[in-house]
Amino acid sequence: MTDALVARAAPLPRRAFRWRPATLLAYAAILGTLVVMLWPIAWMAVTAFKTPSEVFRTPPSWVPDSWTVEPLRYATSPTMLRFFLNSVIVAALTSAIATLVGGMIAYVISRSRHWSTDVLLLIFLGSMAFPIPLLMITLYTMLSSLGLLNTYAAVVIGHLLLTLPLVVWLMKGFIDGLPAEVELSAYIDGARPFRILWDIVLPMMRPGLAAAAIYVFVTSWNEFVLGLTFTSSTDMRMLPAGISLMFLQEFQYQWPEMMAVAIVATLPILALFVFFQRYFVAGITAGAVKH
Amino acid sequence: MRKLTHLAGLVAGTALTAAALAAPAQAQTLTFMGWVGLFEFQKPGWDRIVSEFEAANPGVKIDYIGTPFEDTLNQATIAIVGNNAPDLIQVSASWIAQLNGINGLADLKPLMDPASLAQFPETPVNAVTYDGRVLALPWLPGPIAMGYNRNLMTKAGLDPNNPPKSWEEFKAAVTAICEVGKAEGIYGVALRTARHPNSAHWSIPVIWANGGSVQTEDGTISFNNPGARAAFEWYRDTINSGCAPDAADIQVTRNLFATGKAGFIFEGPWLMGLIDSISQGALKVAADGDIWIAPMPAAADGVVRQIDNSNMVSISAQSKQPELAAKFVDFLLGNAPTVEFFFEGSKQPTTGRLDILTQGAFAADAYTQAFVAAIADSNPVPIKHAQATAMLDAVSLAMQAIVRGADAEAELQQADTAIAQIVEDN
Repeated sequence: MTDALVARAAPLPRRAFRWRPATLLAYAAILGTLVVMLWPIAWMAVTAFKTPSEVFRTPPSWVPDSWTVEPLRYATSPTMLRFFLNSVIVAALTSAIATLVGGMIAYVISRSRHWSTDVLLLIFLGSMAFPIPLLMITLYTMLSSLGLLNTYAAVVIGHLLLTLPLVVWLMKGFIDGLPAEVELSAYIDGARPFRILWDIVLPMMRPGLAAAAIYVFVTSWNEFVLGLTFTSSTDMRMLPAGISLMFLQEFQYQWPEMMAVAIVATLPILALFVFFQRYFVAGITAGAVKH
Repeated sequence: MRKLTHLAGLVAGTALTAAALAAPAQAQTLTFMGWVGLFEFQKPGWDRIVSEFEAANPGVKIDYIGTPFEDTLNQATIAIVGNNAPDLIQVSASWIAQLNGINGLADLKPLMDPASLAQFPETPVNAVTYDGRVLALPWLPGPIAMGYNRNLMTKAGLDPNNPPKSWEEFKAAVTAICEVGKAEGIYGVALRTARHPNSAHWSIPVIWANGGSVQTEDGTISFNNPGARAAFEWYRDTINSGCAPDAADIQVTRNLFATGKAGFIFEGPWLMGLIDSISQGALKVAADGDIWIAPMPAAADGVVRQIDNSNMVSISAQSKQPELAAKFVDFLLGNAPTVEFFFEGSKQPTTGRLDILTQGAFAADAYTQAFVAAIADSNPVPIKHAQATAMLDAVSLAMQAIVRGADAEAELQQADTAIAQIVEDN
């Protein structure tokens, strides 16, 4: 089933294309939605090449009177590259751990018939209702006691707390859609539970794992509050905190520089989606189909 | 074999003990949380302060924790509640009430030299004194004055060397500039009118200029008085006539003024740096230049009352070395050569001490002296309550409604009710 989801659809038979009113309406709606969604991104890209006086010019203008590449200098400065590296490390670690651990937890919850696993799922889902400020001080105190503040571990732990519940829920739905008969056959043949999980289930979970990994990576990449609170030295800050530190001054926001950095910061996420989008779509939709 | 193991352990233990005894004394570290050392125009001055203090105090290290301005209050609060507060915190004066509410700040009076303390003006220090405890000292003073565009005044037929001194003169000047500039999208005044507590904060001197107040004689915080109503009705009329931008936040007002699109603005000493940065040198701030400053317009009784947006420095109540922290505060605010170096790089007053502000490089700068003259009468905390921000938010909501045409008295009464509820809940 998963292979069918991932495989390309067979080409449609040729026939004459007609511009029906419904088709026109559909294309118009899609185009309108695209414009709405791409407009702020386009404005962000143009702002990265403007001077400060052009940013709030009235009336606003797409084309500045004078273009400048000066803001891009900040996007490639050593400080900004350090923020970038920190974000990559934390997001990658969080993604790997959350996906692996969340996947295994989801497998147990999905396959076990014991009532305690339902309670476990409820606990995970219930934890998503807690707003971050409520957890912040407790987490901060705990990490401070452990001597973990201002380390990658502190931020990874914080991001895991944010993302693990949703990964468990997402993967549980995906695993529910996988045929249990394959695992049963392996069990009858004498395979141990871990072998079944590692050699049979995990490969089948690839699309779901990819979707979860991308979700966790993006969440960790964009996360600001925990990254700012659990780090204190400038060279440990993540990108969102770094952008805020460098460009949101007390008296002035450096919009062109921020937009330049934002463009550069978006590139890894874009690359992730470009390379893994078929797995992402398959992973999100697979759990919706019941067998 | 066992004897060999014991002997090896004894040797290792002796070596470790010797190493520990021979190790040099740990450096003392003072942690400083704030946003000052992050920006290009302030970094050289801050780096010099740190290096000179460390050189003068061998074995002491300043550990800087950079936090964005907008998040510093939250970060300081979390650190204090989490029992991991830094030794020193750069604060905005309006945050003191909230930090005092969680017992986060130390009393500076017993820690500082009385002779140094006496150099600070009374009004800003009193504003951050709670129950006799001085909880902060002004570091980067920010009295709010009236910035005006001399070119637009000339264009409107006004004398740029004679800016408005009274509230009535100010209103007339705003109207005059608006009338000649409206076709070009030029406003008479760049007012902060966005839905934000800061908009209400910035309206306080306008309320005062209209003879109003923000609290009654018994100290009750209240905005429903004739002067405040007149002030917000003026906001409404000015915006609706196109003489001030609608729903403009801090960034919009600064950009409008710095690009020559507004005749007046209320800002602090940072205005010169802003104009320079945004206009990229197109507008010159000088007594004979394009932009200059003057005191806020006086009320009908002739009294000028101003707010202040100073950055202050505090010592955390959890600091394990408050005396050393106080030594740093004294150096930060009182070492004239480093204070002047910081001033020359950042183009803003870099101490609250009047004895230093009226000497040397400060005294030679007319722009700075215009603000120094205002420091003594500027109140950084007109509403002395831990929930002042929430109260100003309620007033900001009322301001927006009044601008949209609602009855001023009804809206301000509603704001007062919300404020009374905030006081009761806290």
